[in-house]
Amino acid sequence: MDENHHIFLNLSSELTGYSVIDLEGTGLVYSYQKLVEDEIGKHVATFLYDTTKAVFSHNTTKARDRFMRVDIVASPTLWPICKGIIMLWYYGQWTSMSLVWYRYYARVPPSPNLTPDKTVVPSAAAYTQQLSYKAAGAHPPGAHPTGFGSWGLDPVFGDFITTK
Amino acid sequence: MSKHYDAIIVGGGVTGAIMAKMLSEGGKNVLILEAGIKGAMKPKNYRKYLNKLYTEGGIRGMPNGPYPWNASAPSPAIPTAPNPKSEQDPYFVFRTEKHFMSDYLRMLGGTTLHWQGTSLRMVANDFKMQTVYGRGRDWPLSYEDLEPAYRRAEFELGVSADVEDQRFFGWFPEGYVYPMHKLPQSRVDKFFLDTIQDKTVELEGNTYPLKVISIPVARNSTPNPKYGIYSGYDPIPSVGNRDHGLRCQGNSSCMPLCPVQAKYSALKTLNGLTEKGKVKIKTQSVVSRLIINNETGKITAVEYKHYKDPDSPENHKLKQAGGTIIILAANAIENATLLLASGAANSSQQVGRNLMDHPYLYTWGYAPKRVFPFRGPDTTSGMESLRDGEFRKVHASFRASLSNWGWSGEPKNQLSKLIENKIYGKQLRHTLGDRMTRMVKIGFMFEQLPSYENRVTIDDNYKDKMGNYRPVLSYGYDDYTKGGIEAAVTKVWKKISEYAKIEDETQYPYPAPGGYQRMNYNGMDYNIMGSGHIVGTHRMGRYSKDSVTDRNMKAWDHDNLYVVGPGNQVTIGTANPTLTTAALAVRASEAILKELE
Repeated sequence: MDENHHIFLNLSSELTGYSVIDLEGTGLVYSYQKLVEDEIGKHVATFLYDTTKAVFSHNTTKARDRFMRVDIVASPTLWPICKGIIMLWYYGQWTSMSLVWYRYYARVPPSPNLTPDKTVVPSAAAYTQQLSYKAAGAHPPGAHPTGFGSWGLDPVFGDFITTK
Repeated sequence: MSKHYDAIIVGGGVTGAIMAKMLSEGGKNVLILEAGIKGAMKPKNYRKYLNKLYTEGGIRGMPNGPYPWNASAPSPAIPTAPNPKSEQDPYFVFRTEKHFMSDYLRMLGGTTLHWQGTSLRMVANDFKMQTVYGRGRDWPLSYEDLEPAYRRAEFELGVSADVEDQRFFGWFPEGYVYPMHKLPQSRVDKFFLDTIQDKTVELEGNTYPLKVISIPVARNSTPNPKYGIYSGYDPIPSVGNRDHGLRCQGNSSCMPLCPVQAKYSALKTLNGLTEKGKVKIKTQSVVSRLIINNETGKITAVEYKHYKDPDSPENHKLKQAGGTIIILAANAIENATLLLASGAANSSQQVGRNLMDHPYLYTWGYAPKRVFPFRGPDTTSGMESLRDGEFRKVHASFRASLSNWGWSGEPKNQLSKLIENKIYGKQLRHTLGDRMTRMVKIGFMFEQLPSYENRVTIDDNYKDKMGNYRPVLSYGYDDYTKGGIEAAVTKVWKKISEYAKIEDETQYPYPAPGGYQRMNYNGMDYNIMGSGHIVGTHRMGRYSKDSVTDRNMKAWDHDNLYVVGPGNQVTIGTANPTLTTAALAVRASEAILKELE
């Protein structure tokens, strides 16, 4: 595994609140990394990875959270990318970065094939593996059904396992 | 002209499928002419449509969304949420400011490919509205007349239900049970059962219970061994894969597509027929005209356009087919359009009139505790006690469908809001999880009275690319329906949310979002959608002067023409119409078999 992949995975985990094991289990990490890199370009990708690496180099959770807020969430260059990464994981859709972002915050020319603000579903798996329904102890409509009658009981996986 | 058939059926949906089955079982030769493609009948295609559901991110252009657009036999799209191709090439033409908000699918299997599966019977008073409440019209049939056909329809569709719950309004024969046990009720249902079951609401001076009951659905559940004379019912599996679909497994995508086909579609009935080779099905055959013998008034043949490539409507062959009995078994709008295009069956001037649907309104909020929606079939229970009552003298009756899918389509809005507030990570995961697990939504479905002004017409200026007439629609809601909508929101939803301690999040934004249209009544604004319950355009009646067909669905004007489908409904009541459609198909088949004896 190259270092950038490792950083992308850990950043995804930090942004989504899901463990790296959960994310790797979707089988989508490589394709998402490529999608994001293609979209933002090598130059900005390097900036994203270097910044993320610096944030993660802090030893305490408190410090990491603080630098995450300061260096990434507050950054007009990096936060729009992170929002896109969250939507990608949670909703299985990617919206292209805006022209304003390319011109003023990334300062790189947009890729020639770019349609700004266009939303795509990168693959069928992006839909079936989205995390939003999982966060609710459910599943995306049409995929990963929970089984006959399961809807009459509390979910048996996810964040809502109860002992009652 | 080629082979002569005992019966020619126009339309390969639920009506056509059931009639073909019954007529062929009676030894008759049957030809089905279907305008659309064979499509979903092939398992390979069915998987392709499922994949499209995924790659289009779920619900774009619901509910026709995943099915391919066909330029030779176009389907309508919900006007403000269409799929991209039908946006460029709309099918319906609107004459009124208010639009008709429902669609249907022109493909073998018809709209049962994406119906919800709810299979309620109509209530007895729906058949005699004029006598009992001085509103609407009476049917030439009573509930009791149609009851045996309802039972047969419940067999054909494979309905799962608890008959004790259904006795609330309807009379059932002693000892009758449904083919399968009711679907297990959801956590959402249990929340409402716990909170509003013994509560009441006052409408027009009378008190009514807020009664939550399980609903009958044409979706495979556990067979009831008490069903039938022998030993229960055999659930019908998916077409082309006998291991799939024997039970609902909770895919939560009944609309637009059940991945395992645990829900009934007309394909299941048609597949049984083609397996046995009793019925000939010709797809990609758009019937454009009925040929009438002016002396006898009989239909001598149907003229249809057969096409090879759906994308080249111009390249078609004009053909004819002849039969002893001609049956129009298409959707209410298509049946009416074809009759108008042929100048047939319209001495009463009723063809195309009395178009009805169930205007549909959502209310929603957060439950005080987790109810775990977004799982299971769309709906497993309803608040059904306001489907009938004295208030129908004043305003529409309605039923309330309890959604198992939260505020469906909602994760995106919630996510966007949270992310805009720079919430991410564990906090995002838990906040989203907390909100989504408490989402409740009720879909209210309203009765509409038959009206001359709500109608389908044709116009020489509006034809599709094959040269067939496009339906030209005039449609609106009257004060009777609007009064029902007002009562549902200001009285019933208010009570329900009070009793169940729901944080009411209902608001109707302007402009109305895609798929909805604005309605104003008594100073309140509502966003209304359609239900896809298209009925009334060729109603049955006691007299030839004010109806299109007799009580057996034979056209008054043509001795060998039957016009069958939801278009026969005189009133719409509050039942989702497919089961009644199936029952009417059973009744018409029995009449035809008798006639052909």
